[in-house]
Amino acid sequence: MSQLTCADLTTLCNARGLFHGRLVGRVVRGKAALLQPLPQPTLPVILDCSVRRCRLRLNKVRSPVDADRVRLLLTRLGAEATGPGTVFLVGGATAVLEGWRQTTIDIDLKLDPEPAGVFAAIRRLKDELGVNIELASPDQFIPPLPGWRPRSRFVAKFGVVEVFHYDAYSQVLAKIERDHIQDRVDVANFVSRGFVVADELQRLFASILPAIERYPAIDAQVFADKVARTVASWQRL
Amino acid sequence: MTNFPSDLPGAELVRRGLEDLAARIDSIEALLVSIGAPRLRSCGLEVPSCQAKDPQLALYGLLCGDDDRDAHSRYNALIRRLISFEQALERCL
Repeated sequence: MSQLTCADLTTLCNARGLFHGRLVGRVVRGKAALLQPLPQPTLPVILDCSVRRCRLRLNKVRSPVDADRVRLLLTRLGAEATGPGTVFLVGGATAVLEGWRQTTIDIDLKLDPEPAGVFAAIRRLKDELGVNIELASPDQFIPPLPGWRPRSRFVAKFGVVEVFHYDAYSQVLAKIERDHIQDRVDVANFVSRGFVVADELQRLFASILPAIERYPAIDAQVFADKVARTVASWQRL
Repeated sequence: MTNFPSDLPGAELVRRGLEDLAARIDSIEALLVSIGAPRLRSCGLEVPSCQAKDPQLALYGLLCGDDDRDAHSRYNALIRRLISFEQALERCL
C-alpha cells in the first residue's frame, strides 16, 4: 500500500480513468472512516488523518457492489462455467437488481445444481472484480419452504448458467426471523412489489413450523410472534 | 431494559456498543448494535440512535480501514456474533 496526498491520489486516479471523490467521514479514535459509499467505478480509498495532513492509502478492498457489477459477475460466471447449472441470487443481490438498494456489501448465491467449473470461476472473479461472494441462502437459517424452487423468479441465462432470484417467501421469512435494520427495509420492498402476500406467507410459515426443531438456535414461538407482528403491520397499511 | 445477562454470547460486544451509541461514538461495536437495533428493541433493550445513515456500510467501511485483507470475513463474524446474542436473549426472556 502506498501513502499519497490527496493531490497525488487525484492525479493517479484521473490517469487511470477512476473517480477520486472527497471522502465524507469523521474521525473515530484517530482514524477517519469511510462512512458513505464512493461512486463506482473507483478503488475505495481510506482516509487516515494524522498531524493535520491527509494520508490516503490505495487499497485493494472489495467495495460494495451495484447492479452493474452483479450483472458483470453473472456474465463472467456464465462465460467461465464449463457446464450447465443454476444460480439463485439471495439478499442484497436481489435487492440491487430489483432496484431498491443501490449497493450490497456482498453477493449471496446458492448453486443448485452447481455448474461445473463455477467454484474456480468464483475464486478468480472475487479478486478480479473486487467483489465479496458468499454461498448463502435462506435454507441455511430457516427450514426450506415447500415449492421454493418453482416460485423462484427467472432473471436471465448467462452462457450455460440459468439465474433466478431465490424464492421471495423464503427470503422474507428468513429476514423476518433475523430482523435487522436492512431486513425490515427489504421485507417492505418485497411486499410493496407484490412478491409476497400475507395469506400465502402465513400458510408457508405454518408448513415449516414442525421442522424448526432442526434449527435449535431459533425459538419457534418467538419466530411465530415476529411473523404475526409483521403480517399485522402490513394489514394496517 | 438496559441490563442483560453478561454470559450471553456476544454480551460484552453489545454492551460496549450500547455505551458507545449513548456517547455518540460510531465504533465498530456501536454500528453492529445499530444493525440489530430493531430486533434488540423488540427484546426490550433501549438502543440509542446511530449517527451513521447506513450502519452496515459504515461498519464495513470501518473494518476496511482497520485491515482491508479480511474485512468481509470480520464483518460476517461480527454479524454472526450479534445473531448469537439476539437468539440467546430471546430464549432467556
